[in-house]
Amino acid sequence: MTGPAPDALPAGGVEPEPMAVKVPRLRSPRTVAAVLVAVAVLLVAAALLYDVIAVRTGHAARRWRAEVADELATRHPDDFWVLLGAGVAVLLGGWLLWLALAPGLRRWLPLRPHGGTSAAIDRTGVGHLLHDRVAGLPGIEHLTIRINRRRVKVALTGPADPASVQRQLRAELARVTLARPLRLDVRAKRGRGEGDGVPGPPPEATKGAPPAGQVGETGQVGGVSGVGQAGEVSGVGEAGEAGEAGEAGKTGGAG
Amino acid sequence: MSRSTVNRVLLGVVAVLLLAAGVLVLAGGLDLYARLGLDVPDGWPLTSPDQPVVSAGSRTRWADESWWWPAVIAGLALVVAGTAWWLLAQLRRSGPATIVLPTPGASGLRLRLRTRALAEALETGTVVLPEVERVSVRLLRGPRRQRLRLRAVVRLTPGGDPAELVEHFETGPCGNARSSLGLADLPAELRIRVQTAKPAAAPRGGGRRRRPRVE
Repeated sequence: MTGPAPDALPAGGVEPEPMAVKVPRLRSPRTVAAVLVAVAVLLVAAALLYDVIAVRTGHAARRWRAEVADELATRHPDDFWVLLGAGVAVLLGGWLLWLALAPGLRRWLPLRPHGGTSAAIDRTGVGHLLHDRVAGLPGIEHLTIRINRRRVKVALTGPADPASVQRQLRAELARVTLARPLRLDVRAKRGRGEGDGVPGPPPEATKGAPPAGQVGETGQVGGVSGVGQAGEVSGVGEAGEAGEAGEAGKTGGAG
Repeated sequence: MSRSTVNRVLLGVVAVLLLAAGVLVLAGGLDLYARLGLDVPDGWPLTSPDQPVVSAGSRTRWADESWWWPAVIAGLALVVAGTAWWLLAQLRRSGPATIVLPTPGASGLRLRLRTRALAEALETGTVVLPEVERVSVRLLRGPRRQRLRLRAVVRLTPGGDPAELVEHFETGPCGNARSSLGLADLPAELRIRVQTAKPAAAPRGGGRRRRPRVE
């Protein structure tokens, strides 16, 4: 995990970001994976043990064991099925190693602890809070909220003022008091009825270092309202092009 | 060692064994040693694609030794017993069934409290907090012996305030439990979910993803 320092930087002149707090990440106990692997190993080892003891006490070996031993003794490593089995073993081993090392529980975002109580909130729950706060505002026709562990991406369509929407979302995020504050990324587009779109910021603005991203974010809000007004004045043909440019800027910035 | 540590170590062991076997067979089958010009030490298995994966000779190499079969049987029995214990450890209850309460001033009296009763008391204390819709509490064994910790999964009403809930829980039900049980500390872990106001709003909004996209 990278240090929380970029989140702790105050946004240039807007309002100070809440400070990030170091909280140990939740770790999944990996119960389901442990049960599956334990059952598989137990079945194989118990069957082998049963058969070995049966052979040692004078019975004949089961057919499956004779077949497996025979296949292993006749097939060469460049046989297709042997290579396939080895590939599956490598993939399965890599996945299990990932399960053993990665913390898991990615859907829970830790909150600031209070006394002896630590807390974490569901990522979808944060999305619900943001959605409910903004969905009722006038002038929003279409709202998409995506949350990953570091940032919130909000895409909205409609004549609403993006700056005020962003203020509302920022206030809601501050109310949640996440231990590691999420970065907010609001992209606005005029509604389809008016036929004009607003170009997003150039991709470099959000792809750069976090302080540059902050600048790009505030610059974007200004650009959004300014270009939106210009779009109302300009003709329909130009507006269509602006809409395409907005789409391109959006996907480029999100990638 | 906690159950999480045991699970992760054993998963890692199984993963490394699978990886090692798979990589050995792939390296032999694709003839990587010869192609990359690697020198392998003597006795390295599967150095070329022209030998069987496990030949009859290598399978029965020690079969005539007197120690071989007892060793195989003992090893397999150890693996079976170990995985059975590992499996049972997953099914076991993760917290103590009862806790002993301190009884100052009353000698010879041992007071035990069922943790289920404590969890129910915490649940009734939490569900009356503002904006709480549903709660379930479990008591778990703490990181060290004889220490108790609790985990509560709370569902908030739409627009609920998670920070306020943490504060209310700490000063309310959790503080009450601490003082009435005479515990120095009772570490608590809250898992908060929030309901959405309008489930019907999602289709109108053009398929807002219920699950956040993971990148």
